[in-house]
Amino acid sequence: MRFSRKSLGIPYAVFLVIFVAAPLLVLFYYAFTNGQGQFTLRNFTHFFTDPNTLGTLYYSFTIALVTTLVCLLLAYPVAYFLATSGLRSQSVILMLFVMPMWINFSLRITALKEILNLLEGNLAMHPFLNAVVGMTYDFMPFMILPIYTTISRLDGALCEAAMDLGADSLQTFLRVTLPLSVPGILSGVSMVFLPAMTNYVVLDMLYNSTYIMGSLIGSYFAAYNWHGGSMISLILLAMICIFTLLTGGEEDEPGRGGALL
Amino acid sequence: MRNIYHKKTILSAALAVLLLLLFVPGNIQDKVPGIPGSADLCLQAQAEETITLRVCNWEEYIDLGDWDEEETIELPSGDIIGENSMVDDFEEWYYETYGKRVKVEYSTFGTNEDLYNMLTLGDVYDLVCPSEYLIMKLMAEEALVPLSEDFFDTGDENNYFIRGEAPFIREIFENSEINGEPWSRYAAGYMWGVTGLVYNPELVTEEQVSTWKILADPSYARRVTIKDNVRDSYFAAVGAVKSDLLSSEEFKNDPDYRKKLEKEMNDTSPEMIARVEDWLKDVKDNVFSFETDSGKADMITGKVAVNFQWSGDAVYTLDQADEDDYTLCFAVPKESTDIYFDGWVMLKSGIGRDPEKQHAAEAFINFLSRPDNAIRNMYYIGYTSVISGGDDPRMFEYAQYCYEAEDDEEETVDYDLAYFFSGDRDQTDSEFVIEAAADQMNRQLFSQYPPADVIARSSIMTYFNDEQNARINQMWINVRCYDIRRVPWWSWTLIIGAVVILGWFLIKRWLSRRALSH
Amino acid sequence: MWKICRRLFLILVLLFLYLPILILAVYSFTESTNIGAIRGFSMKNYVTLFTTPELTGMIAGTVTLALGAAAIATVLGTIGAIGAFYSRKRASGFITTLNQIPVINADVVTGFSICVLLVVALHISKDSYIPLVAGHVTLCAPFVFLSVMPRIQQMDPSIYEAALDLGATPFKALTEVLIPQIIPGIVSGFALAVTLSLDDYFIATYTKPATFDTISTYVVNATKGAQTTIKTALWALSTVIFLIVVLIVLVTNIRSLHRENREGGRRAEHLS
Repeated sequence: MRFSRKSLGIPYAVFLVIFVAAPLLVLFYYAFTNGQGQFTLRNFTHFFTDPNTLGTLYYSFTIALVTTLVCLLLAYPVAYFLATSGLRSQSVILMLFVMPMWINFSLRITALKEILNLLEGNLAMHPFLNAVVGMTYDFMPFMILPIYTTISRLDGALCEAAMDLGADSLQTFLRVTLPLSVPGILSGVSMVFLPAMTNYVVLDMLYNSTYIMGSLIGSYFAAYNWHGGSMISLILLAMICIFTLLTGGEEDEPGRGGALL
Repeated sequence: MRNIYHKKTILSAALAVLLLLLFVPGNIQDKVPGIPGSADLCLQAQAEETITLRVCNWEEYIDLGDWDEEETIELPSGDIIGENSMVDDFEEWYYETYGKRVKVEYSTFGTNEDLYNMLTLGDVYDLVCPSEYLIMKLMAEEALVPLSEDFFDTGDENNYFIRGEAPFIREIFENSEINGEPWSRYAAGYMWGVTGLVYNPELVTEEQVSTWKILADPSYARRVTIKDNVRDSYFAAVGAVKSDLLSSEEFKNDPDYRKKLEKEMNDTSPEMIARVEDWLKDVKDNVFSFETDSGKADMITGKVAVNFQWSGDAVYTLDQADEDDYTLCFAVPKESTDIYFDGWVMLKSGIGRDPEKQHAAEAFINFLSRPDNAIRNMYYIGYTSVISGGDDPRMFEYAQYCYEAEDDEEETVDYDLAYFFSGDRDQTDSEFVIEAAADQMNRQLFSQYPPADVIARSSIMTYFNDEQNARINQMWINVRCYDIRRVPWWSWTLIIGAVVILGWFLIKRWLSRRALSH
Repeated sequence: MWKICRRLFLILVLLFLYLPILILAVYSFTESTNIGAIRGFSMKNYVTLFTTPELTGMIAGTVTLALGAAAIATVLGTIGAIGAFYSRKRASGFITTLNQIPVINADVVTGFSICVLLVVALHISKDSYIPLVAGHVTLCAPFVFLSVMPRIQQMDPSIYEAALDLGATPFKALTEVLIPQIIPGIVSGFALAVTLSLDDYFIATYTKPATFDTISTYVVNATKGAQTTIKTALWALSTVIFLIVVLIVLVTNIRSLHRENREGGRRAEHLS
């Protein structure tokens, strides 16, 4: 066979089919079958009728929402101040904010746990607070970076034009900078919200023994119940798809990859 | 010039990748049993004469040797010290005794479920040490090789197990049956114990820890721990839920008490599961943590006041606390306690019909049951061996060595261990009495050898069939979930508000973008 | 005043991010087993960290896995990106869409689905390391793809054509013309892949052999354990990793720092 550049795509396509598409198909199969391999909707109906699983959805949603809001409230000013400060070594200071990303999250949460332990006395007394603080601590860099990138790419002339047209600086911020930085915010939100719904290790390590969506998968896994775990996975996947459809199509989106490097 | 530079970079990058690719499978090869590495091939000539025994045991559940000189246990019948690991000693002993080389491939597992999963996913072992309920499950699945007749021959002086097994353990192993066959046909006990509560006597009274209900007691909010596994927690929950029945005199005096107790404690009816779920949900909001191991440290550092614990780990916890001059105690609630055993069983998938392998496996059990080795293991891991020693006095001497009160001890009690060492529960003038310090009544001695009345109210926990298992696992997941019926109204309002705002915003954005692109 | 407030805010957030790590670093040099009273200076945690076979084995295993998986992912992702770029629109759309899935998916779901496919459905033993390596490659390769793709798009397509016109075989043109041009994308893709693999917990926990641990699975298990020597040795590990990260960031940024200082200086002159 003659070598061509096109054929280079084949191994990768095969790889993606085997390790990305096939696992999802298998998830579908397991989600809609029972232990005997018969088709069933029980896993599906169970999730949406059982007060415990619905409660888990509620609880993870609440944690993720609060975490995302706190992250946003902390990260937006940081990104905005940094991008508009005209500081000499802006990128170095930015580095300071995103550097924790490179330290393994389990080690960082270990560190946070010791501090919280000192501050709270009995860690187990404030499970919800622990979860939110832990997630915020873990995911904040993922919020800072995309917002910073968006704001720093804004055309300064726009703000100047607004000023020239008589807007004060607050108005300029609200009517120009903020709306234009929405893509960055959305991309940050997408990088914080979903992990905050699923990263159950943060909760485990910080003495919150209530399950979130990720822990459900983990517990089904531990009980060798592939069917239940597959259903939860599919539901999470569906939520991601909806979210991506609603926010998606962003041009020039600094995705997760962009954020890390 | 540029071109040359680039060529070099690519070449070295390709080399690096190649090296990595070579390195990774090589590394894997070393770790995967079954794929012979080159070193194994060289040894194959020798391997033909050597029996390989694949043993899988709990983590940290055997003496690894390397003791300090001062750790020597000085008993009247001789000193005991662990110089080499138990496994090395066994290999040497087997060669000296039977003239054949045996190589033990020793590995460990973390939980019974892990072990079972390893077995079903194709790992092959000859000899494993699961807990009683997994032994029962394996028996029911006909996965085990029965112990040979020779193993039960009391005439053979190397049969340390049958000559030394504690009578009351033997009674349980012979009287508990699966499909009409007693456990004792397939399993040889290793360690045993009961579940109970480690507590801080300065914060908790004996009265309060006398019931499993303390785990849900709000006056100890976030100061108690429970085990992070459904079986142990289920047992405690049944004890708490049925507390009144179980502690009533009428029930206790029933002639069929033990049978009935076992039935009550293994109640998995849907109503019972529902009640247990409710109780455990209260516990979830009351505990410091669901733990497997960390409870010991949390107890010693004073973070918690009560810690649901296995008696073997209780001994360890109390010992550690003593080193910090911090006194902890152990109690077994009045309702009932789970008496558990870990025992050696031989697997069909590993042993097959190989008599030499089976001989080596049984010799391994016997070697661990030799009193000095049983003592070494007990010292090293803190649990209690099922071996009482038979004619060999060393097991009881070790109990005395550990717990006999010092001469200057002011207050002492007589602690009768006849039930364990002679099997005679009614003997009035037992020779197996330890004169212990009074506080040992609820401390290490109590944990290591629970008194006869605790044993009397103990029950084994049988294995659950697939259907029971599914229900109980689901119950356990439910316990850990947040019940949506407990969501306060203001939270609903906030959530719905947030979703509406977010949705409105996103849809508006989406529409405007669509309008733009058209 | 406003300026001070802004600075103060930045400093407070930085403190939130760094205080735990720094306090742990300080305590890793002491004999304390809890944060609180400082008990005597000691290097004992570092000795434990580098002499306990369990710990060193776990660190070596994590690094080997990260480099190995990243290498495979880089090869796959790079040729995938080249192939997709030159393929017909539908084929490249297919690849790009599938490539997005692991990027946006929750790690728990990726790990679980790979475990279900390979271990549960196909009965591949976890001890073969195949599920683990496959899982990490699946996690990393799409990011390599994403970091190489823009480089190919930015490339001047006529160079490759010119090479062909000058008589180079397509393979030669590929290795000597195309790949050298996208090397920066490949390198950053590789670095990204290593980072992702090092940080991963969920994929490893669902696909790893029982006897193997990565740093994150080890740390998570150790925090459930009772051994304080291990706990404090992990403080040392976190300090070591922190220092390595600081070092890498410093080295890679020293050039941009110089440049920016110069520019900043110029800007300052300009303003005055």
